[in-house]
Amino acid sequence: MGLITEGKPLPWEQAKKYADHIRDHGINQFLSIYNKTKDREKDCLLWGDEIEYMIITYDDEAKNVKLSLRALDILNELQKEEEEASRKGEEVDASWQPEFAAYMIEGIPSNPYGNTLKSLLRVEQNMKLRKKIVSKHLCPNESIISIPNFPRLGCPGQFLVPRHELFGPKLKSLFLPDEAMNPHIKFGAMNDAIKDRRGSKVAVNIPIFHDKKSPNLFLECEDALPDHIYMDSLAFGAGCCCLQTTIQACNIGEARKLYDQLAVLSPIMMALTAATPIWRGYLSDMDSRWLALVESTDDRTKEERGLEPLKNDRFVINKPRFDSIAYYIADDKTFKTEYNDQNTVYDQNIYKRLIDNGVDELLARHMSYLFIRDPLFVVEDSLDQDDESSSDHFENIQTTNWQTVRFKPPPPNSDIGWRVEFRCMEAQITDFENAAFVAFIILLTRIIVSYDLNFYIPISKVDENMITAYKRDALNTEKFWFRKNIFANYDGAEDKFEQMTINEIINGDGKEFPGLIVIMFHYLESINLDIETRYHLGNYLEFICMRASGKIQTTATWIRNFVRSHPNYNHDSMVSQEINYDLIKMLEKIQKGEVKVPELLGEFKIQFN
Amino acid sequence: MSSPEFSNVNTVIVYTGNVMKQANINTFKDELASCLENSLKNVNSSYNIDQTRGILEVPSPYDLSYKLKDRDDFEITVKLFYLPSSSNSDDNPSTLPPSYISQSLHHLFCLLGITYVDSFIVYFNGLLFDDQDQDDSNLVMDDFESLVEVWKELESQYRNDRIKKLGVSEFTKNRFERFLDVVEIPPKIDQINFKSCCDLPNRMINYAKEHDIELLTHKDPANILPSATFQKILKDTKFPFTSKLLPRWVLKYSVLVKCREVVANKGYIVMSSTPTSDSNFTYPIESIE
Repeated sequence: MGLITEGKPLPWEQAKKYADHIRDHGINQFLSIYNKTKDREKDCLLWGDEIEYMIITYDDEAKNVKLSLRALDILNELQKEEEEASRKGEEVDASWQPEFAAYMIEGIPSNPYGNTLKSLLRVEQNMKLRKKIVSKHLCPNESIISIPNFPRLGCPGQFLVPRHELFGPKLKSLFLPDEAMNPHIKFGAMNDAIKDRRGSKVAVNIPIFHDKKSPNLFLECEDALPDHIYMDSLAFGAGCCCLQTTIQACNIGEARKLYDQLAVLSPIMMALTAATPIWRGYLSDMDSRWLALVESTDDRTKEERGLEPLKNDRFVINKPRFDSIAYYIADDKTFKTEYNDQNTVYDQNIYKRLIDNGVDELLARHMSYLFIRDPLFVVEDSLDQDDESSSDHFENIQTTNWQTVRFKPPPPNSDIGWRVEFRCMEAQITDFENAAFVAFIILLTRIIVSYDLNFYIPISKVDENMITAYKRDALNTEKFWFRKNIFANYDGAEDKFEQMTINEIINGDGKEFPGLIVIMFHYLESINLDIETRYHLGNYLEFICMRASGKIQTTATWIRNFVRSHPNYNHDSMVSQEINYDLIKMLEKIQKGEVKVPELLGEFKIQFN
Repeated sequence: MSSPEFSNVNTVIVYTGNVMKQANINTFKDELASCLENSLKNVNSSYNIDQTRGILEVPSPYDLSYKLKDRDDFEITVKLFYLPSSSNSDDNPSTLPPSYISQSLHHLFCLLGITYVDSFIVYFNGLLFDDQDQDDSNLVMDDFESLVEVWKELESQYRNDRIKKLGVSEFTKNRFERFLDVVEIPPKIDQINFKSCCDLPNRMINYAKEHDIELLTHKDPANILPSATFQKILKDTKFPFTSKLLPRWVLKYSVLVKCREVVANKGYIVMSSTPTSDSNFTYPIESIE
């Protein structure tokens, strides 16, 4: 979650005084990088993935499963191991980072994949290897899993081990102890900044799923909405596990194009990977984590949210820091200015400065939108930087804008090119699924470039799609705005948008729209692909094809069905300790390929070794 | 357009142009047929005639003045299909004219403005891969000799640095072994039909690993351009030619951006001729300096 910097952060009251300083220098740093690297060409296809995991521990006697704070120790051991190996000049396959929640660790491949499609086979291998590496450090009753959230986080009873008091001084949460948050100083600072800036605790309200005997949830406080599962801490959102992938483009133009096109696909991918049906032990009416993240990170004041007239703040901001993108940025012949129809506010001074320094309008507006935000983490000692060689101030603002896709300039003085990060997918139970979705995104970028595809729809419609995407079973029951004439060269410039089901978008509508997977298979026939790679990629695509058509369930649907058919379920939307225990045990078996679940995974082989 | 210009024409070469720019639901079903139609519909606006050889060329509207820049950034793979109607010899219907190699290379070099291709895969009509084959009883001795003659021409182009890597298609382990006994330069690629329903052909995979052969896949139909299909397209697009035309060879080419796995250009060249014409014209292709 953002910048990893050492040093003691300033409390919000002092930090906010340096907001302009950090923004100014951040823009200087961006301009320095931009002017040095905007003409980079012919960068190769490289990509990486990022998965967040939870460490859990079973109490078989009590039939309870809990999140484990031993994740912190395990992370320490992993990082030491990594350092040791690097020092000895040994190969390191995976790298590890802390995350907001103290029960989470983040794992990435040590080296990017690429630059042939054959490298896509290494993704699943590396993901399995990560679990294997961590498993060496686990105790017998511990496990590592990757699902977006822990169903009973914040429930009465024990969901975290060791047990700690609720309502601590830092999170002040009715449901979580402070110890749920990683003790590293920057996470606490981030938490404080959001709360203090906003002027109140964050409020997350997820609608409950009404089953036959569901309770009317009592309102824990004035921020809790009736019939909603109320959560009162950043930890509920930031403690979610995601699946992210970053792709290197050949030049800045391609990166900007991929940013736009992938942003349109975000709601589709979120609905396909939906895996978050439970919050605080209740079945909800949503299948994805997105809204919880949007609401739990919302640092906007009342004035900025338009609830009070503007007095102390500069603007009304219609989008929170965590949201789908506000602006398209590609300087492409298929782009039309009317697609940027949300008119989100941006900093006019920064905009002008960027334009005066040679940045074009679209990119200037993008940056000056990102830079309306205040930095959440300010270290006094690091305020003075050499803007020609450091990018810390830039990254400070850049990485605390959490959008569906992120446009990433090269780091200063490096050989890394312009990249796009795809951020909205939900972590899946098995590495087969995670690898399949990463492969899908990479292939999506190849067909966008090879066929010159045009997915543009107005941004307001992308926002609409995002809200649709996190609804319960959106994949099979909802329709999404999508462009019909996606072949830029063939179909002409006229806009044709329609509401289509995800099945139609992915598999085709049987009439005019071929379907993204059909285009991908066609693309695979046009390149030099060896038989083994073709076989495995074929499996990944067949799997996604089946998910999209509803032949197999999303993880969210599967979890819902598991809960609702559990013998101890009372048709009251409640996921008891015992149901949760059985659920997590089952998820682990699925992850390891120890049990077949054709309704979730079809006949695809899951191998864990 | 049934002008005297066409009276000497006995060969018609059609270019589909970049099929990536013509993509739609029809091209995904039958790419070659759809794109041939697009080109032939336009024949009234542009065509070229080589009077000496009696060749009419029908270019693609999607190819206007396309010439490849920065050749080293790209990997160009071609696949030459010998069709059922390849042979123009009544006595020997299974003759595979080796001249098709230099013909197809010449026209591709002119089209893209290049002097060599990275891989040349040749497909001999009728061959089908089967990992379990025990013998090659469907391949007659004459056919085999014909394959080897074609291969000799490929070896010659290889020695002239016009082709960097030679390949075959639908070769089984047995076919390979038989082939390796008689050719000088071995194929480095074997491109086989990918059937998603079946398991990996492990026998062939192991053999390929042992002999350093790249085992690639394709999904081309066994007969990529039946004569009847070609003639129907000519009829549907009202192609102004009185004699019957038989398709002799199809060259599929793919221009890939190296290290980015992006298809920059993909297309087909179809050579057809009248039943009695001598399709064995050649273009001398010298060695690159």
